[in-house]
Amino acid sequence: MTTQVVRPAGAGHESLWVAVLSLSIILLAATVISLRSESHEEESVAAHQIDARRDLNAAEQGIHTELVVALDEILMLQDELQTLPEPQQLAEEGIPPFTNDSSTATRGHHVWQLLHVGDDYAYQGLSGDSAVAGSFLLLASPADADIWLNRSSDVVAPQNLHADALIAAGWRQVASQYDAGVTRQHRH
Amino acid sequence: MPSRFVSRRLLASLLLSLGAALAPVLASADNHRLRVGITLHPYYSYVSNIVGDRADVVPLIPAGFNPHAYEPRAEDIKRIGELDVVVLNGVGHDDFADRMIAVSEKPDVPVIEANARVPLLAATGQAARGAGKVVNPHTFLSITASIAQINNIARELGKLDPDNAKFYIQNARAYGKRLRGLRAEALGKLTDAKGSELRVATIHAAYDYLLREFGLEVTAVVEPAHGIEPSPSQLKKTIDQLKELDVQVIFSEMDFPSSYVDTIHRESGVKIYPLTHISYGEYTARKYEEEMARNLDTVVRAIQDEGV
Repeated sequence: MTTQVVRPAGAGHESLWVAVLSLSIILLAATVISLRSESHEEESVAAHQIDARRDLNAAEQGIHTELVVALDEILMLQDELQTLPEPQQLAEEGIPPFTNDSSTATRGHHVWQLLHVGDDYAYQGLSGDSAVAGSFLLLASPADADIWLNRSSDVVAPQNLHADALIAAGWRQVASQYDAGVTRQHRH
Repeated sequence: MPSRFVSRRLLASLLLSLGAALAPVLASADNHRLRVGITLHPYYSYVSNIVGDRADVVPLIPAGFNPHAYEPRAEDIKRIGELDVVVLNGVGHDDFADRMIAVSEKPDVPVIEANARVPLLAATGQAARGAGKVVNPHTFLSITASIAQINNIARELGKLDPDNAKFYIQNARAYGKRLRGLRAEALGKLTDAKGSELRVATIHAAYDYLLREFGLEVTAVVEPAHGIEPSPSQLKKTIDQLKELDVQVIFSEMDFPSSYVDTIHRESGVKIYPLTHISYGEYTARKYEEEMARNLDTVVRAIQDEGV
């Protein structure tokens, strides 16, 4: 009996070609993806800062936003009065967080005071319950709102309102970043 | 010659009448009214209250469309060609606007980023996919974040229209004061309540900014994605989760009612209070105040009913 070995027409090359084709598709796709991808690097905050979105609790986030908005009103009132308004005046104007309402009670019972240290001014809100929310400091400068937080339970009024002195006294600057939705095509 | 005299008089009177006809056109060119485009209902109210009768406010999408599911149409894109500026939410609620502006007759129309100075919160629920990079775009559902936007819009409009800048700032301030009045009125009803102990769930992840004003934090978000109803297995998981977290109140959607919300109520026994997302119906200047007053009342009622 004679045995004849008949090799397949492709002689096993089909598998090789399919493997090569698959690999090239994967390589092509990987190249296209890497060329088109945009890096979204997480903007980290400096060591003396605290991130408003990630690191503040709900009560602190509420107070922080209100301080940002209050600064607009404080500067306008300063123009009219020729002096910075006292927290009492701000409360009478109904400007949170200086008002005394149920929200004050649920967010740490802050007591507000206008500090005058050297040539600098700041609104200090001492927390009545540092477990609920830390104490706040809003520096009264016409630039963007400069807000500091201190979570220790025995906060004393700072003797110097410069950044280095505040950092040394345990205050941390609240950093808030504006980044449009990641789903959006950026054009700004 | 009398005939030449007549033709000169005719020419003179023709020129005069032409001048008279052109005068209002030329005057209006001097005193050009700003045309301000907006994308969402709250922004219509904000801008209308800021500009009063000195500018026109033009919605990019017609009333009746749900901004969550809106796809730009040719006639809406065409309208952008007539605008002087567009006010955007810009943090995820009107992503369609960028694409519309890019393909419009005026791709370089100035844009005001209303939220540029608002401290943003991270998205919650399913929208939080993307490793914390997605922000919650519903800043307009909070009084404080709205005032921040109104002040910002007024300042930016003033730069484009310096003659009216002071008028815009004054109006923004008066409007902000009215809105603060709404907040004060609502909080005034809660003098002794300890709202922060209330455990709250929402159907749509939209109300974090609003609830921050009451010192409340959202414990759970029920809906997998806006407008998408949960599957029966997701629904069961949600109901188990609500029981486990001992949620006392659910804030649902007034504008987009769904039958599964009733199922959740029936099965979990948690009381449901509908809030409005302010993105439905006609565009009016008063809409934001009216609907926010209703939202604030609803939250107050929920806190009072639960007696916490």
